[in-house]
Amino acid sequence: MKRKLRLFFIDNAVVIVFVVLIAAAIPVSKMPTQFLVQEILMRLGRNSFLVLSLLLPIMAGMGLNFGMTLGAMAGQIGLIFAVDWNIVGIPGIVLAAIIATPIAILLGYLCGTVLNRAKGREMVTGYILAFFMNGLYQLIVLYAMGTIIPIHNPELLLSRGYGIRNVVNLITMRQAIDMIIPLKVGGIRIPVATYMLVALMCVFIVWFRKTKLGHDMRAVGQDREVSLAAGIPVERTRIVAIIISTLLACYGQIIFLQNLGTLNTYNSHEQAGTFSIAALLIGGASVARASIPNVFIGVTLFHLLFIVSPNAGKNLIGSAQLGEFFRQFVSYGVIALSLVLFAWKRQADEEAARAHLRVGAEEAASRDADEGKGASA
Amino acid sequence: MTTRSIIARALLVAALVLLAVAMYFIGKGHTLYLDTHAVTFEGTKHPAPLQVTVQVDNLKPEDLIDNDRVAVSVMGQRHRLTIDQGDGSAPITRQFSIPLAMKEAVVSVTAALAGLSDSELIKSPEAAVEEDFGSAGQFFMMQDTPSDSSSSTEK
Repeated sequence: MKRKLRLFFIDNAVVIVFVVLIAAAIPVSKMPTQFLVQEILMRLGRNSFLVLSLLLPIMAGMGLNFGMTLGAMAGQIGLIFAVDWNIVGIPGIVLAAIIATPIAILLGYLCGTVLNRAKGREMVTGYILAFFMNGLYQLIVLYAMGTIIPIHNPELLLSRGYGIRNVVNLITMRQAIDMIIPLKVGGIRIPVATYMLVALMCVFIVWFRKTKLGHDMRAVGQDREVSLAAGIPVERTRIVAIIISTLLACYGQIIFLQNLGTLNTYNSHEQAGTFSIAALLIGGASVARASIPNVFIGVTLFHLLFIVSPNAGKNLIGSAQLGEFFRQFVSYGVIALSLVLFAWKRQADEEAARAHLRVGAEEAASRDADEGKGASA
Repeated sequence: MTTRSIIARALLVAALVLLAVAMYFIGKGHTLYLDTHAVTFEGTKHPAPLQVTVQVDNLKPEDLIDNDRVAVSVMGQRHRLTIDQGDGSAPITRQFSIPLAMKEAVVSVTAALAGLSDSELIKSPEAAVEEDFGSAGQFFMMQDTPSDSSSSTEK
């Protein structure tokens, strides 16, 4: 019983820490409940799709896909074109998604190919790959757009005549998906259509797990060597997992940005990866195991802390800025904490397995010795 | 890759391209300037209405007085203009379409009330300004165009 309780605390350490933090921060922040509920409902719709895109690479044993930033970049390029051509509302979002799809698939393929050459170090490789692609993205958006790639809308371009401005106004698409089915309950707006999209995505993930490819991914995630011996194309399966994840991250970023109504051309994608991964880890996921409930628990806890921490910081210390620092600290800190816990747990498991083997070997040896004695007698 | 899967993928790509084209036409945004200036057509001057309520599609109705102009944002090319003169008469409804390339268009409420053709109803802002100010209108347009101002700075 004591061991079970200890295991429970170890498995859910991050969730427990966050629940305690939020339970302490909410009363200090003095924020009205209705506001908190409204914000959480909005942020759940806005962020869940992005976080859900992380599940498949974890299933394929590739850890947390820091390369999802590539998908976010593709989504942003699609949005820039939709704004340039002045395509508004839902058609603008659909067009942005269609433009971004081949870019995301190509980037996902590149990412998957690179990660196949860095087996066992996928996360750090994905992280650095995102930095590299960020440079390429900036080259395209800052220099190629307006020169090689025609941009007609002068409001999008920098005053020098080429390169996209720091902020792209998405007011013509703002909350277009959320407003398809407007629903207000007790003064709280519920983005029904966005939730339907998220639900559809959950159904897709559940269905995908039951397909042949889904089974292959799980097998690859559990043991690459055994999967290869069983005839599963391991490298192809891993590439497919990353392509799907990148594509979903691309759509997730479009959903995220249409809700905000503003695109920070050079920053929005950078935050997507870190914040989504942090949210998933806070939900109780680990590098090797993640489920749909982890996504929703994580987004709720992470964003609840995001909402209350500035006010809590202001009320406690008199500075809202401290709350902002806290937010950054928490998002990076939780990733570090989760990785450390995962590494520690894996080491402990390996030691336990070795000890079990050792005990088993000693028992077998003593049994052999007893049998030997008996035979000689 | 089998022939069947190649065909399936080609069909999927074609469907996506078709959907993109459809979205381009359906979702093209336009800014309409509902205008109540007087209109002169073939020597006949049609006076500006004193007060009207104008509605484009199902958007919020706009109240306009004479020589007034108000901007509304619409999506797509085909629209319906409903003008209520407020004198108890039945509202006038007029269907019109905006050229795809025209990002901004001036919609003359006066021309709609006079039953003039689409060429008089829909005008580009440049043409409308030139009509209002004559050749001096070009000067005002040059002052307003951002691309022109940036190119003059570079020179």
